[in-house]
Amino acid sequence: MAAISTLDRSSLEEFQTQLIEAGFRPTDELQRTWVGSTPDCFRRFTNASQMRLVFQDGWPFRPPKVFVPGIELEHVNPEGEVCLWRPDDSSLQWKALEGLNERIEEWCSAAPEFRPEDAALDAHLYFKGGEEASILAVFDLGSISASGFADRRHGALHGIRKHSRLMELHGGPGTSESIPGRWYYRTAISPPPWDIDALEGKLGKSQRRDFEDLQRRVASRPVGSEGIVLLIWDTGGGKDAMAVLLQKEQTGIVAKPLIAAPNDEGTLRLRSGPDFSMVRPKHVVLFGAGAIGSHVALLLSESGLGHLTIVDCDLLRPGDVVRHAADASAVGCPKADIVKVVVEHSAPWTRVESKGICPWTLDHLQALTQGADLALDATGFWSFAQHVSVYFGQISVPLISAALYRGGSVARVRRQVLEADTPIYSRVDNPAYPVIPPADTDEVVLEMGCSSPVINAPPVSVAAAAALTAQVVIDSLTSRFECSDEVVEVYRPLDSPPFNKPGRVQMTGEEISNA
Amino acid sequence: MEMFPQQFENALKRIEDHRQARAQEAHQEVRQVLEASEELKAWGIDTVLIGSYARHTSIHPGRDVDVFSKLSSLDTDASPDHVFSVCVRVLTDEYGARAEAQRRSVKIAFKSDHEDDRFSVDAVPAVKMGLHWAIPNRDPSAWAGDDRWVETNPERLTELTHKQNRQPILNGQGMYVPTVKFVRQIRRHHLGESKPGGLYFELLTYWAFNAGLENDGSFAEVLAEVLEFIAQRLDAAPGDPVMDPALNRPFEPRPTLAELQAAGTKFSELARMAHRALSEERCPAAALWRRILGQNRRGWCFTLPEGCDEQGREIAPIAAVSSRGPREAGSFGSDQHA
Repeated sequence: MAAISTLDRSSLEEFQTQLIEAGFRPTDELQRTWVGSTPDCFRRFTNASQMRLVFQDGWPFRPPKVFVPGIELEHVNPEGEVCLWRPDDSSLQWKALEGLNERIEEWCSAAPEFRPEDAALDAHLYFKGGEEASILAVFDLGSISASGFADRRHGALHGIRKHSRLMELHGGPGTSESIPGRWYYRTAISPPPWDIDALEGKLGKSQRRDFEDLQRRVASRPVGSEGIVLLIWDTGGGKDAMAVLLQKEQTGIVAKPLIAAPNDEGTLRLRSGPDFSMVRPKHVVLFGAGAIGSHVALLLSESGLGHLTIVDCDLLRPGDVVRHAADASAVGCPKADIVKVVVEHSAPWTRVESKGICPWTLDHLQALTQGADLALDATGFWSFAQHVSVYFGQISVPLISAALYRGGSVARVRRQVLEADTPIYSRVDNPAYPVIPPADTDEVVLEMGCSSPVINAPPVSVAAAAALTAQVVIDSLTSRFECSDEVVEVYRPLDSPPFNKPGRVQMTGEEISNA
Repeated sequence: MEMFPQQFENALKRIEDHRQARAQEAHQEVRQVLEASEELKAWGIDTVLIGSYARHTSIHPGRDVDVFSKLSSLDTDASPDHVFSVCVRVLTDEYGARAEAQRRSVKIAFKSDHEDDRFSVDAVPAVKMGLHWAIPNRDPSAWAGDDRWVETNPERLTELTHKQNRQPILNGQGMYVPTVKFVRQIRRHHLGESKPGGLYFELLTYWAFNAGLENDGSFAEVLAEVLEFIAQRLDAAPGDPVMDPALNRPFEPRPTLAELQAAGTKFSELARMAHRALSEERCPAAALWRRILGQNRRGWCFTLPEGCDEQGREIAPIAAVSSRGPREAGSFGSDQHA
């Protein structure tokens, strides 16, 4: 054990002095672990007279861990650690003993019926050995029980090891190659079980018989054989699950918790942002699946876009990979196809079509955008932007065009969606839309064997421009229109205003302001 | 000049022996056992807590609790062998294996799950010797001779301690007893098991206070002065022994010349450090006091002031700016990677 690593030893020692005053004493030479009397409020849940306080490295930004034996409640792991604060808590409430005691009182007041929003511990952390769990058990509850959990309370499942840290769980018995298992559903479990006996104790009568049968099956097989248990229960906010791997060892069956990691759409959606439902019914046609386009495609899909058509006639080159959403394994593939694959991996709800064409003909443009909610030009070609601006203006297809300028110093996203938006093609020589001044020297280099010029824009500018573009597109798709019809972001200032200061410039069509 | 009132207050809390109350309880328990003996009752048994627990000068981690068993009906004509054997019998009858006869006292173990809470009560019989008391000679082979009883007066030292603690006063409390604790802690940290022991240094502190203090406005100034006095007195002690103020005779057992020289060298160095600490900038001064007061099982006794590191450098008082974190929206992240 090493000394407590802290940048503020003064406050640590002040806190420890308060502990001494309160009758605590260190149990190790480095004063990392202290024991003292269990606060009265914990005595409602345990007979333990002593509690343990363990300082973590990173004091005071990380709270001390509080261990009280014998509390069998949610938010307490098998080692007796009471979860008092979320890992991201910034209150520093624990910096004084008074604050720690205050929080313990709050915890006791909330216990034993915690609010759903108080849920803080992952299910595997309640099970013995949960802190060391290192294998993900990935599953879709919808596929575990196709008919849901209203009628059936248990059933077969099987596990497939994808690699040393990942196991996929599927409903049904599987094959002889897969790991046999059972799932059990309970309407309520509190707290989650701490060991295999406790798990069995949480089951109903017929579930228990079924579970014993699974244990017998694993026990009857050679050493090294495995079985899986998935315990599912209702919580205030949905469903929770605990996955446990049963392993036959010389001494008997050993239970090891797995890290339950659902991969259903509902779980993935928890990270797609609040616009998911509004963006889900929308169809966007993306022209250009290069550096900016590939990242925008990914961002829009991850945000919930339901339908994406990707149009690009180019192949992915080795040099592209540096700034592209695809990696080196996709070199040689059509960019449209590979971006489709990338998107489908991250956003299974997005229907993606890829079109390996160069759409300069009006027929192509019309056919591709038929019924689409928005066309997005990320080709970076001034000529194409002008071309589609004129045509989509004529056939009333909403258009957004994005590009980077001056070696990635400036990004510009132009919108031609609302009637009030100035058509992109008519912004030339319009004083309300300042011209991005050209550089004195040529910023273009040519890649060997490549007919296209390469702009050495930094990947950071590409990512920022993609994020800005996705933001403007979502602003339009959700009809919020909080962005103006032309937004410029300056990453490296140029000489002349309004591009001479880093930051965002919203063109209002009349006056220029720095946002 | 930084006096670190908060740090010295913290240091006292960190040095404080939390077993003071338990010592009192243990004394009461042993007293009841001794007073229940008809034989001892006939000898006029009366017990009193003595030693550092009685004087409130014990420091963490504490040691034995001394119980003085006064037999007022006996004097030095009594046989130490007989008196002592009765005491041993009474206590072993009650405590069994927990009671163990030492050379002239009976040690009773008080157990606890935690090492810091374990302690022993040392009960020593005493008979009248004029105005003072006498306890059996440390060497039982001398119990047949003239030196079989050794004069002592532990209650007098307790009285003198309480008296000495009346002046000077800081924040409503006497400065003498806290200073004794600081000195005992400094001795334990820097000399460890070497002699002279804690009581000898307590007496040196007594004489330092008795001589009068130049500056008594802070523990920093008092301690610097006391350390200097102790260093000088240790140097002089081979020819001018330190007196036991309760008995008005040189402290016994006398430390050897080598012990006095080693302690004198160390305390001269500590006194110089203390005086430097009084004139240094805040952080280097704190680092010096931290080294002087040293550590115990609870860690460093002198806690770091805000904005100082252990090397005495100034650092940005990052989290010390406020007692609470920022009241802003939570950021995006996970502690899993930490």
